[in-house]
Amino acid sequence: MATSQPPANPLLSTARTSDSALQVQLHPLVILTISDYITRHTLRQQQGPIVGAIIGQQNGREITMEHAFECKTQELDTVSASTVLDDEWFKERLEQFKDVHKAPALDLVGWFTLGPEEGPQAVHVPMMQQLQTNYNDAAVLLLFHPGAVVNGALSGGKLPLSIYEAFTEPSPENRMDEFSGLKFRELAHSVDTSQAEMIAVDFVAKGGGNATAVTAPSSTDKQAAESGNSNGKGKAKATATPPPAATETDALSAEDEEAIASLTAKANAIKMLHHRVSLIRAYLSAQPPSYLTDALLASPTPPQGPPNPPQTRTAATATTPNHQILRQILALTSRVPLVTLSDTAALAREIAHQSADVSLVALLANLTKSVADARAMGRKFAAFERARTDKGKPLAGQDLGSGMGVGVGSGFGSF
Amino acid sequence: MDSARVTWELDNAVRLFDPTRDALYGYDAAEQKKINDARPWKTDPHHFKHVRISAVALIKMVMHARSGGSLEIMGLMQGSVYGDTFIVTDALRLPVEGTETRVNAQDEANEYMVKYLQRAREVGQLENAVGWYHSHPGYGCWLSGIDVGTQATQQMYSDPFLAVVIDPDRTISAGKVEIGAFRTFPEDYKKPDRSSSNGGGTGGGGADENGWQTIPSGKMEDFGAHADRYYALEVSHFKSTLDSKLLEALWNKYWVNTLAASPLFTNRDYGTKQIEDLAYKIKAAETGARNHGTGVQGRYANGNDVVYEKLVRASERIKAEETTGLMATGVKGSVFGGGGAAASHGNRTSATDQP
Repeated sequence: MATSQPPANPLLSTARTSDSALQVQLHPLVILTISDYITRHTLRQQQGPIVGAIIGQQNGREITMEHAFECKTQELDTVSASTVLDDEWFKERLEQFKDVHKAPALDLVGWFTLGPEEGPQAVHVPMMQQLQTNYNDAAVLLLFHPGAVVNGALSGGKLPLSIYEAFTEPSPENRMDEFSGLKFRELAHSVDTSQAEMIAVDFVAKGGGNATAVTAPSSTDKQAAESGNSNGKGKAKATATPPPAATETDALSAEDEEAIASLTAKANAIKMLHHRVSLIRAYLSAQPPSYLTDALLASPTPPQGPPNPPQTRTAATATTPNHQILRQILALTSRVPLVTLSDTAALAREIAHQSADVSLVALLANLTKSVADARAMGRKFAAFERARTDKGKPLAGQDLGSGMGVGVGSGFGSF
Repeated sequence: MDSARVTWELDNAVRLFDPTRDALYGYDAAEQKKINDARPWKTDPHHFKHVRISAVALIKMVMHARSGGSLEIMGLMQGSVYGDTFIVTDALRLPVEGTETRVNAQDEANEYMVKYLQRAREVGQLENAVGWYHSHPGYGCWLSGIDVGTQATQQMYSDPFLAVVIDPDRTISAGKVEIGAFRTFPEDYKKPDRSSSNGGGTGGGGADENGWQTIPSGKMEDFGAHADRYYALEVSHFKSTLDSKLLEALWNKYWVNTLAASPLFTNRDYGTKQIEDLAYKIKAAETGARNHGTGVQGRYANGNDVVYEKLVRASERIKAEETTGLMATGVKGSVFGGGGAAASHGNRTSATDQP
């Protein structure tokens, strides 16, 4: 029943999103739970739709979505063959979750499923109604868009999901008798996270082990061509690069991997910063000439920096400049000199201290390594000497070995 | 209606996952049964060596540990085994707290556990419970006496089973997840001279994976008394290709923090403690060397003195962390101006060392 043309989804309300006062804060764990469920569901070729519930807190008009879990569905044996949640299963599972999420107390705030970017479809309505009547009449629907993931629309940093709230809108032209005029309205959402969640998500994102199958020690590894994950070290790999035919699995130590990962993260962050700054510059340059006759700017021609996103220019020239944005830019630029440090000498001193400390630690680490190496060499030498004259005579070489070996802190006393 | 339902049911044609790179998310019930029947871990107490934890399970466990505050919490892990590896795909909370002071905490949760797992099977999540996790807020990842007892019982009756410990306080202060996985030895098993054990009897738990840990003096006795009854497994995590894509998109929300962070400053306490701890261990090694002379001290693996190897590894770790922190300062200086640029230049020469 739902149309496939983008503008005319009959289930979407025509009211503007800004009318709704509901604010949704999404936690990354919910997103990852959904993705985990999808991966498992498809990989194991399970039947049935991908549906789950989301629990969180609801404080007035603010909804947080903190955890999610998959749900069992059942077919209502009516003519329309609509799918709803298995009520008995769901009630017990919800109780179980509420039991362990007591501080802070979490409750059902919505549910998730897969759907196209156009919005909720008719198949989603029965379940929405079930949740609304039985559990929470302000339940929201989170639609995950698998199409967006495949199309590569994620590169802009946009998450492939939309959140809708449902309400009953009396409308005369509604002719679908069994779905009594349920309409959806899209909500704006933001990503929020607690500190522990932040650290865990960061850790998982950086460490980057992929899920190639573990090779049993005796089996012939068909996975050997993939990254050598069988040693359990989870070699960090940039997620987009294909796995190389790694014949040596220990080419990079764990510390090197971490250093590479953190440098990559920093590089990406800088790219992002650069992109945002050039965006602002492009927007400013695209203002109508009357705004640019300030003495600071040499010419109103677009800058010869990175290529401007074309839509900014047309938007700015087509409409009047958005004063709010311009005010924000002004606030930003006037804040910059406030944040710049005036006492650069003190900062340089501090940083010099820091780098001296770090260099000291590095030196100590190298020294420790050298000592351990020397000790090992001494022992090997002693063993060699012992083997060379294996008549049982005590050797001068042995003393030499021990002398070198215990040079850790004590004197070169012989034992 | 049909096309909508097809979309809703996510036909396999949608390429959201990669069958090879996401292989660990599959579950083969027949294969698991075969492995369970063969039971290679019965004959070899050291059979399991690795643990791979999925992204979702890891995050859930860390958040649960943190939500308990200073109370110990516990939960179950679901997954499977393969070869010498545990594969953990999900984690669930148990409604019990304060697990370190009571022996029967796990019994209270039995009913919850049974019902939860049964419901999970109904929805298609067929994995068995493959381990339990609990938290040690602030005192490190190892097994206490009670934990050893619990784990030993579990290994007797519901093997294969794994014990995981998380320290949420150290996770927050270090900025990275502090986690350890352990299995106990059977009662009559004498721990042989392996590289996984320490010289000087400072215990085998957790020292391989985490390097050294500072155990608070109050817990030191408990730690030392049982340290020989279990060994640590190597922990790594994995995520699916879809996870990776979403994480990349998510990252755009918190990239600012990556650039603005000053790890040397925020982790100063943690770094100092690490150095202190290492100094203490070096002193102990020095005394040992003085007393024992040539070769009797410690145990050997591959011809190297294990104690020294550990010291070297710990110092390399500290060095790596400090240099990474300094690089952050250097990067900030180069990007934003200020004195930090010099640090990055100076650091580049000192950071190069032999592998």
